[in-house]
Amino acid sequence: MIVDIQDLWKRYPGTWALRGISFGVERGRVQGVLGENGSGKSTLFRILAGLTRPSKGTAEVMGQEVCTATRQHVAYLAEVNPFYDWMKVMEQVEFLARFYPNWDLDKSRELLEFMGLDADKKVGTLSRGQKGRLKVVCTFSWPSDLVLMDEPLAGIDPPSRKRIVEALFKEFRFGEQTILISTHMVHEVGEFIEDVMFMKEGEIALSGNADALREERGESISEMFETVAM
Amino acid sequence: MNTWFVLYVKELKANKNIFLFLLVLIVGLVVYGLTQPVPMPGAKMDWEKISGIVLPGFAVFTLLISMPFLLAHAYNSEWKSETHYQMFSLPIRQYKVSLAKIAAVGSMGFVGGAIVIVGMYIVQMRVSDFIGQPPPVSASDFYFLSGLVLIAYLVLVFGLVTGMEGVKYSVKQYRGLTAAAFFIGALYLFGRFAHQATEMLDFLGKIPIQIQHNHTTITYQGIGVAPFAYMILSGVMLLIIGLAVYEKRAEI
Repeated sequence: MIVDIQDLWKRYPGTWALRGISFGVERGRVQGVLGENGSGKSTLFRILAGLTRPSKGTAEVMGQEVCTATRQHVAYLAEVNPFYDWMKVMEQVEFLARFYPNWDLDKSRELLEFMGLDADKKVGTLSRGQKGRLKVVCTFSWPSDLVLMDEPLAGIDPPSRKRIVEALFKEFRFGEQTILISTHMVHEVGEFIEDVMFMKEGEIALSGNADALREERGESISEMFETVAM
Repeated sequence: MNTWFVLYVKELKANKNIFLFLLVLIVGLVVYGLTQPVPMPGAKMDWEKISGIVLPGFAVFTLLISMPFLLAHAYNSEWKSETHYQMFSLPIRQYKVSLAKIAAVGSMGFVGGAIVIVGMYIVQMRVSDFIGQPPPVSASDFYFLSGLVLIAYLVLVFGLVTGMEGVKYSVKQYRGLTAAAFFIGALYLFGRFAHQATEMLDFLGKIPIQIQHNHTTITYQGIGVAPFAYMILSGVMLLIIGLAVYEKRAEI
């Protein structure tokens, strides 16, 4: 089990973002985490990435409680733009590369080209879509064990969305890497997802193998999203 | 390259505009002040006559007052621009991120401090030359004492700010209020125990200074090490509290 969550609770002032969820993810699986805004998806990802701490319960990555050491295995693609606007694109990539021993700068250059990003441009001058593409470059420039993609397509223009989805299919090492992806754009990544977990108000509303759920309920993932998670 | 050094260089680059602005301002004030005529003893005080002393003095004030704000800015700009997401997801301990910020602002403080200390010594030399007396304090005593004051001040101020930022980002609500409460509490405790602590540290002795007066050298034994040691110890304690809280409690 690469991700093991047991009775996980997270409280923010005035609200519980997570209400005792438990689940596990096997190595090499692609798990969709679907739910409306405020359903707890981003909080779950932030806990797994080590950005925030659970109020109660445990979150383990690769058999270890989330800590500085587990971050060495996790590529986290945040919903927000986490990049330094004053850095050039390549400077930002090289900055991150210094913290991950197995970061492949040739791969970064190849991905920048594939994503149509100018390495010499300042990050601050990039559009939202271009920044979204840069996040994908940074996510797949090193062979992480777990990829956490929090709304990689939100607010991104259709051409950038297309490139990001193409990159996902091209760069993801199926069977080796594990990916947790949260998105509203279910139709864009629907065929990519192997397992799915619908979240509502901090709880798991439905989860299971995507194909099995489709067959069992006679609904597409998009339809399930509407009936279960909204 | 060591990951801490990577963070340190990043902090220098991130704040380079504000650091350069401050350095240019300090150098400008010192140089302009030194190009003004030396005030004649007993002359009527007007701006033209005293600017040679006031402007380098203002450079000292500018440097000292800017240090805590620069360090607070280094933390807050990270959180405001949301780049703290990047910092928190890196496989490094968060106290290293804090130490890199402190070191970057500290470097600026030392460079600026060296400029103003040399500037102030030149002011002393010019006044002494003008009145035909040797400088009252020797260069070595002047640099040693000024350096000690600067270091003690920087350590205390960086400790205060690091503590404030540490507690600020470890709570989810009332962050400004929490930081303000920490600041007031820390200052109160600093003042409350100042007397007892300096008495306890009195064993550290006093710094002898040779003062020149009317071509006679007088050895003055009056400057105790204890107040500086107390400032440095308090600063280090606050620094440890701030770093520990930021490492253990700060979260997004």
